[in-house]
Amino acid sequence: MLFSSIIYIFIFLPFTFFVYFHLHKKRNNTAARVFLVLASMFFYGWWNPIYLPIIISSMVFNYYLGEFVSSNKPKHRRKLMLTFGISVNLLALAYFKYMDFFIQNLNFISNSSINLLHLALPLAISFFTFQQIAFLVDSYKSKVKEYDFLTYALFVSFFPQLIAGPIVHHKEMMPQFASTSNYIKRYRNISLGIFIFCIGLFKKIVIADSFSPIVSHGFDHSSTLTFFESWFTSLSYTMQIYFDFSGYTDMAIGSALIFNIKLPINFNSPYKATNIQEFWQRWHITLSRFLRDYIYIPLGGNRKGNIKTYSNLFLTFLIGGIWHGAGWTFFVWGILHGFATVIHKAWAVLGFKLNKYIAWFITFNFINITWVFFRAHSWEDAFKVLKGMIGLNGITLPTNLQEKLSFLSVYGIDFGRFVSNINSSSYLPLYLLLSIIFVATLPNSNEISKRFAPNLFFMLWMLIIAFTSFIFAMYLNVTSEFIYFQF
Amino acid sequence: MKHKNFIITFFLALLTTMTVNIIGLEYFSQKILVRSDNFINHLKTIEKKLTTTEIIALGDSHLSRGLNIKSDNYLNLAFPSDNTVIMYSKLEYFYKKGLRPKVLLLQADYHMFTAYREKFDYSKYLSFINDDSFNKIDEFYPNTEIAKERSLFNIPLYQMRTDVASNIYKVVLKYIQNPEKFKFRNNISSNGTIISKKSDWPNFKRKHRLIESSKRIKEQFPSGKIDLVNILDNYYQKIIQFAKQRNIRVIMVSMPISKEYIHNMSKEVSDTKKLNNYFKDISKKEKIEFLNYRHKFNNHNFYDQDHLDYESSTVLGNMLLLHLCQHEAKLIELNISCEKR
Repeated sequence: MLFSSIIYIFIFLPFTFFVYFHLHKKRNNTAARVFLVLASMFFYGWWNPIYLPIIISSMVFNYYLGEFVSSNKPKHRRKLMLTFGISVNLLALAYFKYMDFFIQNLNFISNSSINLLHLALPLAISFFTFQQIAFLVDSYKSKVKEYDFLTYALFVSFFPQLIAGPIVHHKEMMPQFASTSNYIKRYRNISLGIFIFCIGLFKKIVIADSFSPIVSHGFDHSSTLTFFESWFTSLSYTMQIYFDFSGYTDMAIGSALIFNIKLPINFNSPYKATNIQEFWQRWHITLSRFLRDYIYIPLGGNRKGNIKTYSNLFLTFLIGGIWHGAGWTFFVWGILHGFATVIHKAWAVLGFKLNKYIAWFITFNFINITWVFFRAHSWEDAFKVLKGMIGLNGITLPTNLQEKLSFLSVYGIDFGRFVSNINSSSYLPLYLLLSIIFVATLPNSNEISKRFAPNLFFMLWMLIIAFTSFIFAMYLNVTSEFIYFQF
Repeated sequence: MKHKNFIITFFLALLTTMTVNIIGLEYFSQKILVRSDNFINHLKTIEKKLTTTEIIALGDSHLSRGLNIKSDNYLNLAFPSDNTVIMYSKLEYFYKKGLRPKVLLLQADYHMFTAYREKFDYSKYLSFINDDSFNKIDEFYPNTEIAKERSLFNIPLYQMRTDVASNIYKVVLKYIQNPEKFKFRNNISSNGTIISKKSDWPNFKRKHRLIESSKRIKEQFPSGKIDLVNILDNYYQKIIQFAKQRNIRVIMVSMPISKEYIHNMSKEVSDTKKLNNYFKDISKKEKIEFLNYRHKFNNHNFYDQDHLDYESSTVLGNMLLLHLCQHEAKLIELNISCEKR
């Protein structure tokens, strides 16, 4: 079920909300929490109920394993069980997500022809696997308080964060589910939740989904993209992925807040970053946090000298890249971000500083170029787009400029259909410019929501964004899935 | 304002705005936009001239935009994205309503047989296609299911669910700004031919024309070959038999396409000859005249890679009229003006 779908907004969310708080009002607290788990399972099973047993068995397995590794049993046995638990989680992830990729490469290297399994990736497996690994590790370190299975099941399956994060930590979630003060309807949380949800809906439907067809057309015609078309394609994707994912997160945060559950923020204006490290402190914050706490620091972090720090950073980003998907393009994307982070670190160690506008420009363009690898279906497609971006497929200007700029023909510049390969209107450059200004200067939804108050100003604002989203959903485009669902 | 009141007011205001929007847009659509819809105007034009017409043409967008015979007796029944099933259904439907043509100009081109037509939404046709033939399309056109579902909304939400929907707000805005000067965009000529707007195609360099043609071919023939679907073949033959049984003289017409399109077709689509032979075989077997205009026009005559512009559609119309005057007029007593044009 999509957050931006009619069924979610008008049926599922209100129904779950009313039943959940009604049960609490009748002092059936356990029934209310059971209902919320069941509603979350229904939400998950809406796409494909066949994967429900996987998430349920994963929850049961990890909960009881967590109990074991946090018990008073001898340390070596607990460690053995922890290793076993992490291995089972990672193997399940590897089997569903990476098996075909592995077979493809094995076939390529050994010239064999092993059939691909064509497994459909269980939704959210990357997210709930990471959350539960963190739970197991912290249980082993005795950092987890005792909670019942129902609280644990809510921590893993609570529908606003289930599909694509934020990747929540048991420490921030389980106390909220256990706290009786959260069992009462709080109108402040409800109105703020609706406000944040509306912002997310607008980001997704009005902005991200408007860029979506341009991106699809661009990448589908990657071999014939001219200079401007390539840049417009990559910039459109840069905007699409940000508004799509941050829109999703806003809707998740808003939905959860209605139930008095505060999810961690996941975005903090990432395109305002002036270096790659800052970008990762602002983009998908909960993933960065997980990678830092459960990969980078266990690898040694920055405690063993510069060279080891660089290799740890590089390895962490490589794993981050592979986590996103089974493909060489994600691998390259991880490598590029790893390299950039290492270079930035070395640069900082040497004490160099750049003008902040130049630093922003370099960072933004680096991110924009690396998104090409993230989006492309194959290595070849990515290079075709990049080839266009450096002008190797020619530069075409609109025919209406031919009279004024005909002298440019000497330099090999053509005049023709300006953005025909990406099937876009000639206003696209303006839309992109506005979007870049928007993301680089304006406050983000977290900052805006801190100023929220139940007054006429916010009422009008909410009405405008909700109504515009409704218009776009009804008449102007077809709602597409969220990009991060595939991970 | 307290939070509880804030929430209630918000939902009430949103509900009211949405309701007013739906009712307002639908009223605007029904009263104003439906009148400017190409398909509606196409049907109206046909119905107006139904009983006086002697020459009709059936085909898809190539013929719908490309064959404009300046004669009161001519009716262009073709419409973009028509396939042979739709063409047959139209002929049968309008014959029942009183259409009695003497000549049928039947398009003989690849496009009516291409797979990309499967994506087309047929909901508009539900109003006049009889169930029997439409059910048969289902075998090959899964989207007809969607079309049937949509047809439920055809009356109350007609315009919102058609191609005007994406522009509806722009049109509303234009209309509000200056309702008196608001002009309806009727692109249908008095004989049913679609009037193509001016295009920048003639100014393109050959390189760009090749790119545009290649893109179009990839869209039309995604598998890189022409799949001759049995049902489309059957209906093509049914059109001919229907006409023959009613003494309607059939002339097969192959429409002009740009040189770049032809060049790319031979390069990118593997079995173009197969379909060329298919038309030739039918023409031979059924003893039907086959007029091939595929190579007759130059780049400056085109609206895009595979459609003539409006001026050239009249030129082609004159060429065909001349042919009818010279070879058919006396033979089948056509009531057309054969003065030199």
